[in-house]
Amino acid sequence: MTSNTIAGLPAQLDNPKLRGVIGDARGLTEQQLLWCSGYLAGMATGSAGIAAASDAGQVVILYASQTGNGVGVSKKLQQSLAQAGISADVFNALDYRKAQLKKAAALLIIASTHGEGDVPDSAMEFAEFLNSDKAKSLKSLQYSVLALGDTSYSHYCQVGRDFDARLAAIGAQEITPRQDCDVDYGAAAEVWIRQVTTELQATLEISDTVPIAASLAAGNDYSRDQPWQAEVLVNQVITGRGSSKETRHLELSLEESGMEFLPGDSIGILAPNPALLVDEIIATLSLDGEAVVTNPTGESVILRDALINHYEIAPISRPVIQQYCEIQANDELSSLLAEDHKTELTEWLYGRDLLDLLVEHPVAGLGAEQLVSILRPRQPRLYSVASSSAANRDEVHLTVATVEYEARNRHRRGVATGWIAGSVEAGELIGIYRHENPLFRLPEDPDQPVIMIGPGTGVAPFRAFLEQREALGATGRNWLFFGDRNFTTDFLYQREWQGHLASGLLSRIDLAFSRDQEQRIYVQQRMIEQSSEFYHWLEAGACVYVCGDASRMAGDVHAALLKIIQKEGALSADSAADYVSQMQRDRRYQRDVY
Amino acid sequence: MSTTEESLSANEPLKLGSDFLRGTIAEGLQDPVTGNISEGDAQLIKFHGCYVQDDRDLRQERLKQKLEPLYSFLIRVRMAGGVCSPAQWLELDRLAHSHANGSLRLTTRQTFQFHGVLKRNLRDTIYQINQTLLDTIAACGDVNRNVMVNVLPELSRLHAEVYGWGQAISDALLPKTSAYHEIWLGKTQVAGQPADSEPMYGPTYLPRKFKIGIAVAPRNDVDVFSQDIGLIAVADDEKLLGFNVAIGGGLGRTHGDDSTYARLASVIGYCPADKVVEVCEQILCIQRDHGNRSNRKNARLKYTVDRHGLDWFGQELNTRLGWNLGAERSYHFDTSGDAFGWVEGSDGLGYYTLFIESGRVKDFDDYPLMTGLREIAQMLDGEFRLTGNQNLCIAKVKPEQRVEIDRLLAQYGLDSGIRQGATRKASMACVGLPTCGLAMAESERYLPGFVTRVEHLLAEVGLPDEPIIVRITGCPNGCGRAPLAEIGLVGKSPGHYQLWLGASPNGDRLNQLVKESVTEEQIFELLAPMLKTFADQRLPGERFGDFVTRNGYVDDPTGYEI
Repeated sequence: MTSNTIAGLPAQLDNPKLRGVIGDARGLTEQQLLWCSGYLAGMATGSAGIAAASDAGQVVILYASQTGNGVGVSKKLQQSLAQAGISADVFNALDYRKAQLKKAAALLIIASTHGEGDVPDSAMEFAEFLNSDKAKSLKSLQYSVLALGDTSYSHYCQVGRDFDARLAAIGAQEITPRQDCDVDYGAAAEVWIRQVTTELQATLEISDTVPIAASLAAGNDYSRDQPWQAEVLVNQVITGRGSSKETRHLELSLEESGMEFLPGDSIGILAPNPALLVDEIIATLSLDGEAVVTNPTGESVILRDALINHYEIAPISRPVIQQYCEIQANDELSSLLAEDHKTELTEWLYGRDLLDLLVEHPVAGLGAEQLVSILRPRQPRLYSVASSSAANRDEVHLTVATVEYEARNRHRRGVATGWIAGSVEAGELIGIYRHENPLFRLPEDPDQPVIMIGPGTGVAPFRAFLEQREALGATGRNWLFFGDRNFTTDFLYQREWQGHLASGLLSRIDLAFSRDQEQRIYVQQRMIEQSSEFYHWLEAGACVYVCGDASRMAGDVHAALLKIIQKEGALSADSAADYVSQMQRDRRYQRDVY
Repeated sequence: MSTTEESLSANEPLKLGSDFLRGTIAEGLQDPVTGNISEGDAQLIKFHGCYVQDDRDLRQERLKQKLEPLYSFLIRVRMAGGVCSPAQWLELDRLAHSHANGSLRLTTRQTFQFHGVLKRNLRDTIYQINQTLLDTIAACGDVNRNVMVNVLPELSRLHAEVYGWGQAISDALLPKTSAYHEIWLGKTQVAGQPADSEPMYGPTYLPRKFKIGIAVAPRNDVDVFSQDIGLIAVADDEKLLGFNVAIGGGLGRTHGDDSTYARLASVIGYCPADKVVEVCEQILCIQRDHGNRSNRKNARLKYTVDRHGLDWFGQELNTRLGWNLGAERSYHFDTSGDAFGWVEGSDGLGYYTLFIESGRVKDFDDYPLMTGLREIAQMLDGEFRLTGNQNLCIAKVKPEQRVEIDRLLAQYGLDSGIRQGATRKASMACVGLPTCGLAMAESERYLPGFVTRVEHLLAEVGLPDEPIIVRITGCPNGCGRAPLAEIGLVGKSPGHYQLWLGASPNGDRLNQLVKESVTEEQIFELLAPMLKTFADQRLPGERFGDFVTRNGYVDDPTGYEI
């Protein structure tokens, strides 16, 4: 039977086949109809076979992440669910309202923790909502949390833990226990994705699923495991003689790599641990550097190679201490691991590497395999991209501050920065990959004004932003706030800013050199000094970007922003906060702080 | 004349449009993006006593570092006759450490220079210099520069009188603009007061720099013939009568430009002491009206004098004065050098002249000069006089303080050791690299090693105590007065110099070009046999400069070929 008239069917879509389908569908239950709608939608997008979720509402994947990691995991989860016939929608925590959580069947949260337990900017509002009484309407929700973090910080995965605890407290139903992930989150995240998929499949009672064929592989993307070997074109110190610190400008070749990136992204660098430190560790333990051990991927390598290229030996993190204590009880270290000693642990870990641990708390007869078993895999270091490929084809530029200090009678350098400063010469190859950061992006509107606040190496992405805007002919005004210690030696990329000012690309620059006078001056003071003008820019729709130090600068700049809005807009503190929240929702306040 | 020759040099409209030397200096000081100022302001700020410079050693390095050149400022103090109090010395010493590069430079015009002052410290440095009752107005620029006066230790009463006239000339020829006070001292113009004017200079000032020096024969340590106006004091015993007036001296040249040359001042007559300020003013005004404002390379008074002739100039001056200069009085100069060590003044006080190599006062690794002088300044109840040869006279020392000064000189080793060779003490160099923008070759940093080689050669030929005036300048502009050296080196390019020989040791004869461009090795290939011959064939007491001239080594001004 076919019907000749279908209400609401646009003429251009009308055809007999469609009328047949619709006719067949008459008489199906509501649940069956919903399932069909999802199935058909899936056919339309090419990933045939994705089922509608359930009659209870949609499955929401919410990511709260400063970097791109959360987005990546969210997409993988979405794909996994799709394979299981479950349609899910991915939302930035910023858009939690759009996700209509009250009506959702399941909430799957992927939450990153930054610095000392800080909630990502994009999730501030969601966190507030979750902690309010309004959230109690979510008690019938099913949920699970994947917490991303870094064990080298004491408030490991704190944001995910807090979300988890709060959802449990309001009575929401846990689908599967929270999964905490360290910086090498890949394997743990996959386990969680599998569990969530299986559980949801069962609870949502999807009767009939169709596996999809679409490839989920990441394509030819380079990764930490398969980095691109980039030739170093330039490795140049850009702090002047007599500077109290060293900052370098790196230019790396991407020729023939096919690697693409956007201003705002980061580049991961895989650096070897210092051979001298490794040899000292081996000597301290009286081990044989040639001894065969297992690397993190299960292959056999010699100890020296394992410690140089496969495991993280500086800095060390909480799990290393934990496992070390399991090998041999140690009261002092154990007490640092206590819940109420987080600050003490952070202090203890600061500037300590594996050698410090082994020397200060020797374990007699520690074997090679035992040693590597407590270590976590070598971690890449991320650096903001400082160039635009529109301006510098086949190249990526980075701005790298050499970490160098004296601690406990040993001269120490950051693993990657020390390596770059001490050993990497032009012509050599170094392993890199792109780390996408979709949450730090120039506005799409080329006329939109942009305010960039980036003291120190935080200025790197703004060099890329300006190159990009110039190359694309974006006409929006650009205002840069930069600061460092001394004008004479630390005015990173000074000549370039001068050129951009002369050409008009840069409309304004405000500078804060903290150590050129007795009174320390920082960028946030310059913002306040320009309060009225700053607010005019905001009112004209300016996007505000902040990059650099998270521990103090980002907070101070945030406070300055609120102060400016409050003063110039004659607003209450609450209204100013709302103003900033709205800016965040509009993607007009983006931060890349570390 | 072509129109290009007739058209004004770029500096002329700049001065005219500067609102009496303001330009945009005040705004430029506020620009935080650069340590530099605009090109126009860089010209105008000279009138305020400053040059913008950069560390040329670091230029290439900083280019790679994406940093602008390391700009800093030279500040030159105005201090007529080179006289300052111990309190002023201490303040300048303190400022050199807190605001500059930790050293003071005694110049060939008897004043102090600070180097390495960053733009953000410039205003405060000048402000603090003014707090010491010194200033920097007109220390550079197209105006009358620091007036020089013989240090004259032995004739101390005459010095007081001559120095007084030097001060009076300096004061009379100062620009009257209030721009200096406005920019550096924060003094705003009072409403209702008349706008700025320059009754003497006019709004475009002079075509070029202008220099005045006063010598008292037989000492010529101010190199009186190198001045635009050279005044030679005429005295009866220690009573000053008046001055012989010489005009048109100037040592600056430009490589490869034959229309430029060094010229010694010509004596055109005599004036009584109380007329000397008037005479200087009128000479300056003739230069103001007749100097070349199209080509700065031909703008000094010496070219005006040669273009119009001495007779014309004398008549023009007499007309403007309304009276005639008298006939030249006789005089004789023995030396252009300093009297080192203690000299008893006619006032019964002590005068100690200390050699300062190239005028650089700082603490060297093996020679704590700056510290030693600071200690002397702290105890001294007298004054300091900077000499025209970049040396320092500790003056008006009361008899009871001499022992203490001797003790301090000995304690810091200031008057002994390798720095005390006769030739070294007769030599000098301009600042040159790395700060001077004009330098083409090393000068101050090169002089010590070069002199050491000359002194070794002299020792080899048996003349270890022979003073030869060696002067090295980084460019032909003349700061180091190389044209009045017995051995003069003028920088051409790194490691290459023009070699000039044969000036008189009393400053009344220029040297002549011997080689257009030679390296150190080539210079010593020439000098070694010459010094040997000098040792063998010199007349009793004959100096090297006189010897090479008498012997015909430098007869041919186009070049001497061996």
